[in-house]
Amino acid sequence: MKAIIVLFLLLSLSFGGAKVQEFVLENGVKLIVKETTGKGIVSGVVFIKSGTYGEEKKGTTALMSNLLIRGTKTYDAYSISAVFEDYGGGISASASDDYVEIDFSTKVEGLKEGLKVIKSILEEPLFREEDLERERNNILQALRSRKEKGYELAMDTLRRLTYRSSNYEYSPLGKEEDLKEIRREDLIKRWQEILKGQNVVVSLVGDFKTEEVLKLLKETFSQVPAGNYRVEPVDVPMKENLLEVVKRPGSQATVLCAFDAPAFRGKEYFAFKVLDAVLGDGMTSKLFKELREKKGYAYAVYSMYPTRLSSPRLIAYIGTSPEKRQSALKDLVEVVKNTDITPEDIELAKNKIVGDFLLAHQTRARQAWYLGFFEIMGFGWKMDEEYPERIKKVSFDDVIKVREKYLKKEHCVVVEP
Amino acid sequence: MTALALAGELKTYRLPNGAKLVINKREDTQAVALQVWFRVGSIYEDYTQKGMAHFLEHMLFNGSEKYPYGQIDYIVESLGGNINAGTSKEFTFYHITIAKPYWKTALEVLYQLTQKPLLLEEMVEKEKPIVIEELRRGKDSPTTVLWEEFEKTAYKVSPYRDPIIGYEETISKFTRQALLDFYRNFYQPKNMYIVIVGDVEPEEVYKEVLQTFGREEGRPVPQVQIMPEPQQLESRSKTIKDKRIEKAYWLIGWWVPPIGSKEYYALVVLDQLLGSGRTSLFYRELREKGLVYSVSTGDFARPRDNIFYIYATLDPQKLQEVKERTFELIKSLKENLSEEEVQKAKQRIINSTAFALEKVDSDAYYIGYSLTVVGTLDYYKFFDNNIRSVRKEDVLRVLNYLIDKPYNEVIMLPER
Repeated sequence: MKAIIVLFLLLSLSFGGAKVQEFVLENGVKLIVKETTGKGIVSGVVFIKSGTYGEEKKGTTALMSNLLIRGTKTYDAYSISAVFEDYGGGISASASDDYVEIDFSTKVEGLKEGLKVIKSILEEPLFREEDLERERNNILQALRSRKEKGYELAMDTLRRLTYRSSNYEYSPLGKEEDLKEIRREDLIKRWQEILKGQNVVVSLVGDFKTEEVLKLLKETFSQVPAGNYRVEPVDVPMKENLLEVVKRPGSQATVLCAFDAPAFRGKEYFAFKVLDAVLGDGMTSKLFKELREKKGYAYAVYSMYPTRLSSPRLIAYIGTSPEKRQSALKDLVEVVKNTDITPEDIELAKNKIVGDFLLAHQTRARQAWYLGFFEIMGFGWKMDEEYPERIKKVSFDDVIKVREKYLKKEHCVVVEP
Repeated sequence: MTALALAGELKTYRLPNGAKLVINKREDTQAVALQVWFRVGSIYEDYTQKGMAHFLEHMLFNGSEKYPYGQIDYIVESLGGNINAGTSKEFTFYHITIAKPYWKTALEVLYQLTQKPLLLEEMVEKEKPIVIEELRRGKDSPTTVLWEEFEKTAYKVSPYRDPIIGYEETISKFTRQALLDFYRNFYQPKNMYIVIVGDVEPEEVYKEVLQTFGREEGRPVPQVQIMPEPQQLESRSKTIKDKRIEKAYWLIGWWVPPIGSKEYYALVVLDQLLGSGRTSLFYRELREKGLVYSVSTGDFARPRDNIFYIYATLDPQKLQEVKERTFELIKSLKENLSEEEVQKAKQRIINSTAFALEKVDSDAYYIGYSLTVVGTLDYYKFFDNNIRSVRKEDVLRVLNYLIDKPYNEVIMLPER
């Protein structure tokens, strides 16, 4: 009972919470604007629904994103960054599985200038050959360097194992053979393909009055071409148990296992978020208590349930000494699938999720990110407000049901010396 | 340490037992950060104690008088808060970030955690394999190996040369008694700084702190002599090879003024000019010219034997070229640095404070660091002003620490 009272109290709080407004431009671009009060700073994110979906050459989108902030017809790379860094903020662009994002921060007084730069990035990026060559080299190196760390090597191996034949099969950085073949025309084509009004969500959070920035925002984004680039990644179901062992010199073994999970649309998503927290989030979680505290297998052990447009998975991790790897793997799967879960565990996990969610909203950059993320993934930005409530409504039975329904098979990777 | 600024209303108290309490009342947030800092880290350990400060940090989570093992995590997480701790070479701190209504519970938890731990024998044994796994996890990462090797190369006498986590040989021999002795010496009011940031009433907090931490007896803190590093006469260079890596890593550092010293603020400006952000000199001239895959600069923010470093990843073939170009760029700054660039760098540092302090826990961290490591709250309070007063000639003066002076470097190359 105590835990439930706590949750109600938590729900009544918000960190930097304030008025949020939505505007849809004629071309389909959605603007989400939130006013805060503070020292005159602002953060924003431009999301473009796309990611690696539909890439002909794996890695095109990441390379393209990388070049977005490296020169436009009006601004060179230095000016693009300086406009934001002069005000103590910054700008970056990146691609992940389901979207491209351009993140920026500045002071309110620098917003006008900052948005001019954003407009120029959207409308007139150069994608210069020399930048392309240099950044291609850098990404090729980053790809090869993923073998340097046990975790990254394990994650890339797990991707190939569990997302075979979907666009998630390779990390957004791409595939070496493909990367070498990417030409300037590919980047231009990709940019034209994905930059469609209905794929663009812009979230802006800062210490301004909405009416003061709205005109600027409309000016910035009204020239984005109207239309829609359909992103419909195929779902790859898990058919059988799989295990792959990869050799890498080192002092630890890395174990990663993927389990089936529900899609994000629907009630099951929230129940599964709670299940994930029960199993692998924090010091009270099952994996932490059983595998670290009782068995002493590891320093780090956890699970996660990343939100993706398709092929949802629960992923569990443990890093352990090579001699313990087999028992650690066996016990990891056992804990995930069969360890006892009580109604008290569920209440605790719910509080944990809600608390973490609220604390994660302390910066304007994160507030903007969450609003845009929920919108771009199809939840709608209002999920940012509703999320704690939705978690709160999850019952013990809901969690047990999703556990029984989904946690049946596993795809595991062991990276060992 | 980067930028910080005075945000909110700062109150400082000295408890009768010698503990210090700093409260930053901020009304712009519903989150409260509570942190307890102790001036003890791995440089305070003797040879047999290597890793003890860090091990003790783990042990404090294994049960206290009021809360049995596991209870503390349960309480904090069920209130939607975060609890954790960290050990460095100079300090150890315990922190909770939590929603405003629960700050009192969080304070009680931190009190029990740090002042009433049980340190049971069986728990010491339970914790050993976990900490050894943490150590091996570090060794599994080539970059951890690189940074440890760098400090071992730079520091020949100073205890900064040893890793925070210690060694398997020392950790496996820790006993309850040894931990208790170490604990009693350092985890007491005269060596303690309590920092609270959030929308709280300072007087109410003070009363609450008196009821908890205020009850402990303050004893003299043993003086630990931290051996200073003798002056380095020749540069040292070490090359290591690693089968796991695909590119070269280069880490080079020079001796520079300690944090909190008058010259330090000019060093912060120099760091901004050389390696902070995409507008910095090295990013433009090394990264964007395709000479390196990545480059960054920084300093260890140490109150003694401080080091300014450049860290880059690159193609092994380009190592010599990059090194020469880096030295050239540093020297060219001496000739080419303009007044305008200095002003811009200062402005960037000062402007970034508003972003750095958005999170209450970051704000509390800067206060705690200022008190515990720098040794004065003035560092936090007057940081912006001190940056503002840096002149071009000050930057040029600290630049001299990097020009034609002995350095330390570690190069890590792929082993084929």
